[in-house]
Amino acid sequence: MAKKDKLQPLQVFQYLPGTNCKKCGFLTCFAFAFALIGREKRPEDCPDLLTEQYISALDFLNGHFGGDFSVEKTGLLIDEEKCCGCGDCVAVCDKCQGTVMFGSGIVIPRNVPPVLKIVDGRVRVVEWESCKRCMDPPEYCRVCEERCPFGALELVR
Amino acid sequence: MSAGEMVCTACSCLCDDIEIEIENGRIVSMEKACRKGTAFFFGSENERLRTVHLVDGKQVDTDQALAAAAGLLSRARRPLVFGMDNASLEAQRQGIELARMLGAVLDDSSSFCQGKLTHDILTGTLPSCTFDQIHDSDLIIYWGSNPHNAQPRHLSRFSLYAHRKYHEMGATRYVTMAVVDVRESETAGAGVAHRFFRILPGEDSNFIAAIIEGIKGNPVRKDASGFLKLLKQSRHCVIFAGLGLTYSLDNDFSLFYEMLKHLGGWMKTFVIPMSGHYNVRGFNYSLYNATGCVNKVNFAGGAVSHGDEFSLLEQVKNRAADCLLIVGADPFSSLPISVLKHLDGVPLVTLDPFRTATTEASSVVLGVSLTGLESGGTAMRMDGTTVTLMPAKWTDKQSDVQILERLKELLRP
Ligand code: SF4
Ligand code: SF4
Ligand code: SF4
Ligand code: SF4
Repeated sequence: MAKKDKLQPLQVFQYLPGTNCKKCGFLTCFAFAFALIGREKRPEDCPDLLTEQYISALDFLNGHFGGDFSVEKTGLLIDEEKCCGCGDCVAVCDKCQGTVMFGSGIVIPRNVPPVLKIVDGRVRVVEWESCKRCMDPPEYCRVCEERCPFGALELVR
Repeated sequence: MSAGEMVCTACSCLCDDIEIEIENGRIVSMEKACRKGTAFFFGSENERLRTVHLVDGKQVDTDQALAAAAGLLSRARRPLVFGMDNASLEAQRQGIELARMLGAVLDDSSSFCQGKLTHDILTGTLPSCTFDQIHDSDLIIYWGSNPHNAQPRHLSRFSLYAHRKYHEMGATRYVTMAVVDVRESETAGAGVAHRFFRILPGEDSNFIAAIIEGIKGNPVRKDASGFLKLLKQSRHCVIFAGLGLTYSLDNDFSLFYEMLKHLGGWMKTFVIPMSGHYNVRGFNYSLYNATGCVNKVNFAGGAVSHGDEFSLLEQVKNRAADCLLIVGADPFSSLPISVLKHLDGVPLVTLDPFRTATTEASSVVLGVSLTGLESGGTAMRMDGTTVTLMPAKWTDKQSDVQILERLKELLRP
């Protein structure tokens, strides 16, 4: 189906206890909501969520932020199950092309590895360091996420 | 270990840049192919999904299977040859000759898919272009099709993202993509399509009529005037016509053609039918060259006749055929049961690399190699470009060309 709806911090906040008890190490529940979306914390890091009262909220949050995942330093979260291997992300990302084209029309081959590649029908990361988000200073590019028709890519930071 | 390039034959995009690695006769990895293509070729390694030569469910060798097939076909008084959409151009040529020799009825799935559009392109009444010429366009329209499901790499390799004027960061948009569909498909979704026109199921003719009215200067419904505005800004447009459009118009494109004629006042419009099987366009082309028709022909009595009564559906419904030769097609999966029940008692001879619902129901099954991976040939992409298929893997199975050739030898009067 079409892209999944990304949860906004305020939506996540609705599912938290809202007591600002600071047991998670953040000053407010709202800050914890940001940390959940950024995949820096997991739902069980809020002790109150583990109580009987919040069982459905915990279920919901685990559905979105639980499970196994690994977010690299570019903040890209890949859901391989959703990817159809269409290659749109590779086609639109400047840093995935084999060549660089200048405004004057000159084309030269690029000798750094691409960020993403389609292997065995799914998107794979070849080299994080090539991503614009790893440059110094970083460029907060979100093109691949925006263009993925299946919502298989999510930039969480 | 060997690595090389191959052409994917899982859909009519025929992507020819697939990098495949093979070790000890097994595929190790495939690069660039989409999930559909990958599943197709990895699936071909599973012997349980593949066919062997079968006569009445018992495994036999090639000669016995061919003799049984030839026996059934030569005894038939009104044989029907169906399929060849998943076969190379060479196999199609053999199949057409075979049908001619048998005096059989010949049809393929384009009779209930995109046959009409392809016919009009071949006769020159409908302007069409190749993927290479898309670079001149400034508007791409997907009408009633969702390539992200059926031809996943269509956008990234051939149309929008491959467009020479497409630039991700460009402030000015030189190429626009619009989708007309009944639901918000992946292609129509946010981030992909620039404009999306949602219409109700079956409303296409109404929508087209509104556009024509709009061109004449009359007030029209809001979405049609938005669509017209988009068309007015364009000088060169490519429409990818999907099955959604064909089925909604019920194969009557007169209104659609009228719209194209009106659009001709200020812009060039090209239509490319989105076909499913990899060589449907090739079949239409081969048969058109041989007979002047794209499907639904009857070779009975040495002459060529053409008509709707020679489509698979009509033939089966009227119990007109008494033996079916099915080449690389699976009507048992795609036709409704109300039609299929008329096939009860009709002997089927099927050539297929994979086990399908049709091979399960067949009296004689001829297990052939998988074109594209195990045998070569040529095929025609959906835009009419001929692509050469290079086999990447060795097999002891014979190709459909060889089997059809031998069948022809056996049946030669
Ligand atoms: S531990 Fe839970 S309730 Fe306490 S501040 Fe953090 S999120 Fe809010
Ligand atoms: S964030 Fe930008 S540079 Fe990085 S992979 Fe995605 S599209 Fe490429
Ligand atoms: S991640 Fe998305 S855009 Fe990239 S190949 Fe997969 S489905 Fe296509
Ligand atoms: S788009 Fe079609 S031809 Fe290309 S890799 Fe995918 S299934 Fe194969």
